[in-house]
Amino acid sequence: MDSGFKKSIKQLETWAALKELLQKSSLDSIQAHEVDLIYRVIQKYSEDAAIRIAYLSNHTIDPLPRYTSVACARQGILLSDYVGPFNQYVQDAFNPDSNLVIFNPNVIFLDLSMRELSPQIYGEFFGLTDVQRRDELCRIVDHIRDWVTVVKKNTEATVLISNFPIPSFPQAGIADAHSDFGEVEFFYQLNLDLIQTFRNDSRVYMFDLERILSYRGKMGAYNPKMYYLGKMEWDEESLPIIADEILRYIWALKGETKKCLVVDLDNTLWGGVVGEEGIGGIKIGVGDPEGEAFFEFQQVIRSLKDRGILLAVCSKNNFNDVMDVFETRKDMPLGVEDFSSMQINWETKCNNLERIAADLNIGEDSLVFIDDNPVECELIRQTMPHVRTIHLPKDPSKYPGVLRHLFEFEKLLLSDEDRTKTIQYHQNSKRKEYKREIGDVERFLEGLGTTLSVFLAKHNHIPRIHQLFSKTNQFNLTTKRYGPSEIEAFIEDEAWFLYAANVADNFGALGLVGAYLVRADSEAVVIDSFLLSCRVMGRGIETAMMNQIKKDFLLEGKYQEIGAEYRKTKKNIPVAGFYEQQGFAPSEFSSSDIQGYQLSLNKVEIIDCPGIQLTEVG
Amino acid sequence: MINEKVNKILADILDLETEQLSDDLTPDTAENWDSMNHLRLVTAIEQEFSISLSMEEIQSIQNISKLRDLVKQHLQIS
Repeated sequence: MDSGFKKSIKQLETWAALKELLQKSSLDSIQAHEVDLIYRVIQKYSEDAAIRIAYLSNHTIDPLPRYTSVACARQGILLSDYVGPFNQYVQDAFNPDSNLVIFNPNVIFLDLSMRELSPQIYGEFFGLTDVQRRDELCRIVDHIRDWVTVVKKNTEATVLISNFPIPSFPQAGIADAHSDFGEVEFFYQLNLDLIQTFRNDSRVYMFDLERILSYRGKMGAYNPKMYYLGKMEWDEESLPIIADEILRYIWALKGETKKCLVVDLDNTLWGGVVGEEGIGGIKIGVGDPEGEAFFEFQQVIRSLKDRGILLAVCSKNNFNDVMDVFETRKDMPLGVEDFSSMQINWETKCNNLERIAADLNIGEDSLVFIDDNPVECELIRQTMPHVRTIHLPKDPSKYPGVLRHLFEFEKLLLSDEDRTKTIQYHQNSKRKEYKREIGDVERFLEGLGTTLSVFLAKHNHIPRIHQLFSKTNQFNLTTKRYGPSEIEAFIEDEAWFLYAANVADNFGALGLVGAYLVRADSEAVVIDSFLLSCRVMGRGIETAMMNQIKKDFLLEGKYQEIGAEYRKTKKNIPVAGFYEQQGFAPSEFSSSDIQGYQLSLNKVEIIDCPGIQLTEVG
Repeated sequence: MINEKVNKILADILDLETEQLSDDLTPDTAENWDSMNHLRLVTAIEQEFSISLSMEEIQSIQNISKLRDLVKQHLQIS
C-alpha cells in the first residue's frame, strides 16, 4: 500500500469514490494497520450501508469486523457493523431494548469460544466421565438453540453460527480415538448436532469455522498471547480467511450471485489449439498429466452447472472444428448439451459476451468470464468492467482450484429450480425454435399450452421467493430486496398478501417464476412488489397475474382503488410502461426515479391473455 | 528507517498524522491509544518486522520511544 493510496483514501468524500478506489487498487496482503485505516474510512459512510451486521461472541472478536468490512467494500458492498460487548451475547439477544435489537441487523454472526462456553470441556475434558461429556454436549446445543429462538423473535436477522474447531492435540493424546466418547468425537458430534438442528431453518446457517481454519492451517490460527492479554482468540493471519467466508454469505444474501460462467475453449477446456493440432492433438483425459488436469477442470465446471449456474462458450475458433471435438471426445465431462449458449466464431469476445447475455436474457453483469489468454482478459476488463473476468494461471494443474475458490456463484440454498435450470434453458431454446417456425407471436403463445397457477405463498416457498426477490432485475417494478425473515413476516401478517406464480407449458415445468406482494389494510391496497423471472417475460404471464390482482382486490374484493409504483433502476427500464399497459393511470405522486400509479374500480378491465390457462394450485 | 516504519503504523492505528507523533506520546496523551489499539499496534509491529514480543515486553510499552527500542532490540540493532 503506497503513500499515494493513503493520501487519496483520506480525501475521499463519497462511498462511490471509495468503492472505485478500492476496486482499482491491488490490495494483496494488506497489513493490520492498513486494514484499520481503510476500515475507519468505510465507517464514515455507514449510513448508506447495504447490510447491517452484528458480531456477538464470548471473546474479543473486534479485529474481525475490520477485515469483513474491507473485504466486502472491495466487492462493492458497504457494511455497517455492531460489535456486542464481551460475553454479552445472551443479554443482547434477550433484552428487547438492547443495543443489538436497536441496531436492527440483517445479519448476526455468533462465534463462541469453548474456553468461555465450557471451561470443563476446554480444560478438563479427560477428567470428565462419559455421561458428563454427553450432558455437556446437550447443554451446549440447547443453549445455542434457545439463543437462536430468541434472536429470531427479537430481530429480523439471518443468523450465522460458528461451529467448534476440533482441538489439534486432544488431552488423551493419540489414545483419544479409543476412549469412550473421546474429545475429537465430542467435537464432531457437537458440530453434527448443530448442523442437524438448523438444517431446515432458512434463517440460520452453520458457519464452518472448523473447515475454514483447517484450510488455513490451525498451526498459528490461534494466538494464545493475544488471548491472555486481551481475550483475542484468533491470530491476525486467520482474520482475512474468516472474513472472506463471511463475504460469501453476504454476497448470497444480497443477491449478488452471478448466473453464468463463460469459458474459452483452447487451453481452457482442453490443452492445445484444436485449429492447429487437430482433434488428435488436444489434451484431455487420462494418460497425459495435463489432460488429467483439464479433465478435472471440466468436472468442476460441470458441478457448477449441476448447482444451477448456466454455462456458455466464447471462443475464437472454427465452429465445425469444435463440434468435431465434442462429437469424438464423448469421454469429456462436458458435452454440447451442457452449454446454454455457444458463441464460436472469429468476432471479438466483447461482441460474443454481449450476445451470450442477450441470448440467455440475463444482464452482462451476471457473467463470469474465464480465459487463459492475458490479452483477451485485459481487453474484457477494460471494455466490460461489469463482467467478472478471471485470468487462468499458466499451469493447468491450478485451474480446478481457481474455480473451486470462487465466491461469485455462492447461494445460500440450492432449490429444485437451480438443479433443473439448464434443462429449462434448453426447453427455452426449443421454445424459440418453435417461435421461429410459426412466426406469428400470438399463435406461438397459444401453441405453448401455458398453464399458470397463482396462489398465496406458504413457508415452504420462502427460499425460492427470496431467490426471486434478490435476483430479479429486469421484470421487477420496485426492486425491493426482501430477506427471508421479511418474507416470512409477509406470509404471517394479515395486512400483507404475498402471491406466488407457478408456470408450466408443453415443453416442461418452469416452476415458481413470479411473485407479487400486496399490502391491503382497511383503507387502501397497494402493490408493493411485482416480479417475474426473465425466462418467462413477454408471454402474457404478467398480464394474467395482474388480472388476478384486479379480480381479488377490485372486482371481487372490497376496494375502490389500487395503488402501485414503478421505481426506476438501471435494469428495469423494459417494464417502465407496465402499469400503463395494464390500464393504470399515473398518479400525482412522482419523483425522478419513482412514478406512482392508480387504478380505480370503474376503470378496471380484464385483459385477454391468449393461450394461458389458469389452474388451481397443485 | 525503523523509526519511519514505526511512525507510519502508529499514525494509521491511532488516526494521527505522522507530524503529530512526538517521542513522549503515551497511552494517556494519545486519544485513541486504548487497550484494544495497544494490541493492534503490537500486532502491526510484529507483522511489519517479523518479530514476536513477549507478554512482558508488550505490557512494558509506555511510550513511543520504548516501542522503538523494543523493535531495535529484537532486530539486534542498538
